[in-house]
This record gives sequence, C-alpha cells and structure tokens, in this order.
Amino acid sequence: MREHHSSLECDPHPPLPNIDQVEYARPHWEGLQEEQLLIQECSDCGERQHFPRPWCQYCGSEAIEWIESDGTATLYSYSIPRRVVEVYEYEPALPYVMGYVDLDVGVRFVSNVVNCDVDDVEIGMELEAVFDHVTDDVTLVRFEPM
Amino acid sequence: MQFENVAIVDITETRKSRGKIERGNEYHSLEKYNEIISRDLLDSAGIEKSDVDGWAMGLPYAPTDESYPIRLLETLGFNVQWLTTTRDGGVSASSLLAQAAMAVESGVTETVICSLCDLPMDPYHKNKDSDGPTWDPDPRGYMKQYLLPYGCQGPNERAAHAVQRHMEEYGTTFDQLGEVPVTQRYHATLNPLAAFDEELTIEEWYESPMITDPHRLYDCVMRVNAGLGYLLTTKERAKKLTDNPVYVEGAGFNYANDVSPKPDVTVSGMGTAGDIAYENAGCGPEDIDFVQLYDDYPIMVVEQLEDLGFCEKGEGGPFVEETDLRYDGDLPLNTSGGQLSAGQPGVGAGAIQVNEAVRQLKGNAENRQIDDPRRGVVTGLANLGYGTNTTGHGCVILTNEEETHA
Repeated sequence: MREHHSSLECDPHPPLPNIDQVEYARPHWEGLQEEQLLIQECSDCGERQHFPRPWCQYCGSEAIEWIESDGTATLYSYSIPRRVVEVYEYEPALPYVMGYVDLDVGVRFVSNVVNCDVDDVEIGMELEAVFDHVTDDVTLVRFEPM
Repeated sequence: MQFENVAIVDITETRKSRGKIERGNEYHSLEKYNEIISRDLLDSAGIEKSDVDGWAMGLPYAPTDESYPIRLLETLGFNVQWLTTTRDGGVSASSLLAQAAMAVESGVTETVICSLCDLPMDPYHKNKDSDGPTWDPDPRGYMKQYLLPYGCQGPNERAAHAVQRHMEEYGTTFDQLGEVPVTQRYHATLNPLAAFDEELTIEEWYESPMITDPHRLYDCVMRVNAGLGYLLTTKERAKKLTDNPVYVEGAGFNYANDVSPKPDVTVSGMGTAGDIAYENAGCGPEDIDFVQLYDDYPIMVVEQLEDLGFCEKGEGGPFVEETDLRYDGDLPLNTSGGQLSAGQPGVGAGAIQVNEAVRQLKGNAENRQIDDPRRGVVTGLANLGYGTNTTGHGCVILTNEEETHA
C-alpha cells in the first residue's frame, strides 16, 4: 500500500496561486496560512460563495464578510488522475484524488482527498480539512477522511 | 430565436492535423485555413468574393493580436459590411451560426461566411513537455488561482466528476457509456475527414488506459488543427446557389445556468437551450431524425439526450444501450464520428456537429447517409466551471423542409 500524504507529492510543487494577485481574496489565503478555512458570506442577502469574488454573485453587494468553516465536508464527486495530459509537474503525484468537496457551511470546494488510498474513496464520505503549508507563503487546504 | 428567411448554402471542412510536424503531420497557418475554407465555400456556391458581404469568425484559442479578424480579412481580400466574432468555447459554432442567421434575417447583410479555424496543436508555439497549448489558461481567473494548484489539469478531470456522480445517482454503467465512443468510432471509419478512423471495439475501449478515473483514453477528446466553415444567405438567394439548402429552424442558448453554491453536475443548461430551440421550431424530440451532440466526453452525450427530452433524467445510460445510434439505426448520433473520433478543432469544435448535420440534410453524407432525414439537432457545450457541469450551452435545429412555420 502507498504511504499516505496530506500533500500532492511533487517537489517543487506545481503551479501555485499568486496570493498577492487581488486584495479581495487576501483573507482567504491569509486564513489558510493560519489554518482557518474562511468562506465569503454576503452581509446583505446572507448567501455564501466560493471561490472569492469582490462582490456577492447573488445580489451584487460589496458587503462581504468572512465566516470560518470548521472544515467538515462531504464528498460530492471525485476523479482520479492517473496520467498527466497538460500539467507535467503533477507526474510524481499520480495517482491522486480530485474532489468536489461540499463544505458543511454550504459551498463546494474543489480540492484533493488525501491521507487515504485512492481505492477507498467514495461519494458521500465525510471529510475534514487538513492544511498543507506548501511554501512559506502559500497554504492550500485539502481534505482527509474523518 | 426563430428564422424565416435564412438558409445554409453549404459547409466545408479540412483534414485534421495533430500538429506533429516531426511525424509528418501537415501544418497550415490560421490564415491558410481561412483561405482554404473561404475558397471552398465560394467555389461550391459558384460565387465571387465580392458576393460575400458579411463574415462571422470564431476567434481562435491560439494567440492572435487585437485586430486579428480585420487583418485576416485584409490578408484574404474580403471587403465586407458586417463582421462579428465569438469565442465562447464549444458553443462558438452554434452561436456564430445563430448570429449570422440573425444578421441575414435582419437584412444587415445578405451573404455571410462563418469561419472556425484553429491551431490548438501549434507546433511552433508548443510547450516542450506537454501535448497541450502553451498559452496561460485564464491568467486572471479562478482556473489558475483555485483549480490548477490543486492538481486540476483540465476538463478530463472536471468532466469525470459528472461521470462519477451520474453513475452513483442513476446506476449508469461503463457498458452503457462505452456505447457512445464505440458507435461514433464506427461512424468515423466511414468519414475520410476523421482524425481517428481505426475500428474500436468495446473490448478495446475497456482495455484502454485510465486517464482520469472514470475516463479512459477513448473517452477524452483529442485536439486537432483544422478549418471549418459555412455559408449563409437568404432563402431566396440560397435556392439559386444550391439545389438543397438547409434551413435554421430555431436556436436556443443558455449560459451560467446554475450559479448555486453546490450545482448538480448531472444536469446542464442544455435543457433550457433545447426548450427554447424546440419552441422556436415548433417541434419536439419526437420530430428529430438525428442528433449531432457536442461530445467532448461520452457523459456529455448521455446527459444531453436526457436534457433534450429523448429520455428521462437518469435514463441516458439505458437509452444509449438500447437505442441503435448508428446512421442507419433508431436515432443516429454523431454520424461523422463526433469530436471523440473526428477530433476537436479548438474554437471549431462544435462545427464538427453543425457540418455533419448540414451534410446529412443535404444528402451529401455518402456512405453514412441517413435515410431521408428531415430535421436534426446540433448542440454546443462550453466551460466546465468551478465545481460545476458545463456552463455554456447552445442548441440549433436544422431542417431541409422549407415551409415548417406555416
């Protein structure tokens, strides 16, 4: 059996986000560094959204607050890359699990299921967040079985 | 949208190239592809450049400069009074068709070339390590910030989530899904313009390597370089230029259909686009003789058959298993091989579907000709988004019967 990791096993890690790209997303990236999973909530209509946007995609309000998810989630669907087609930096990590992860706070997060044999992954499994400090600046959040 | 005074005179389509010049694949520039398809369209209609007063152009995914469409017309020597462009992924072909039809219907232009040429496999702008294009996908948006860092390489994975979920919710099986690429490959063996035309059995499909579970090699569309196009004009003029014009009966579109925080990936906006197109055309799925459905992946065909009303939601698996989808069967599907076998030519992807529908309705499909078809559905899909199914959808209904709205 493969050794389990909470990261994708690539060194160096493939394309990383530019956390300085836009100011409005900074709380998301800084939260991950502090091991907090922060999700946008609209103060006017109460809807939540992920990925971060500079406004509420439902009512257009710019009154966006951040709420903290406790990291619990359910796996809505998944896929298992076994070959690289476009992003060759991921070759060492194969096979890994891409997941559509539905957070209990009500939004879908696209990430990975880690610390788990790829053959044991199933739709509906309960997950919790695990923080992967990929570099000094960038932390990503992946999910592991509860 | 509904059209009373528009017809397609003819279509054209080049051979496909994988762009591997070191293996002897042919290479044409974007300008050359556009030159080939415009000349073909003029020749088949027996008209001159000066008879064309409009162009509708799919903007290639390959990098081009800010005035590319106008510079291209200058290079080709076309002086036109109306120009539109589009770049909405796999919907581009049906969208351009509808835009050109609207322009002809309105009288702003009379005779329009639609061109969809692209070089997704450009050997001169190639990433040394990759089969894919070199330019940055979505440099400012969510792809690079929120998907790529988590190992999401492209649509193979995002569409695989739809397969997995459809299997979980409805019990859809590999036997059923495999029917789509195997049947389409049979059609490709009858199409000299298909990129992949070797026979494919269900056993070979099963044995092909997993690319991204649950997608096997033959489930994943392959990019090709090609040029495709169509010539549209008024009904009156079309009847002078061809013996067998094809009419645009209706078209419907739908974008960003589900912006809820947790979208259902087993349905898409094709239901809405299809309903609009059926209503325009005054018909329903029972009136359709064949379907040319956008097929980047087999699951997309299965879900569209459901969303377009050929079977109930969730019954797409049994439907493709029990229905003879060959050109001489119950509901002919992607009779040129679809993109899965003919190849996916960048912005021209959906024109694989448009062109084959026109060939069939003109009676020009040769050894894969459907027996006396009257009406067919053409679709386009675009953009598997962040945790979503496709978010761009186009549906066009074409017919060779003139008086359908009477």
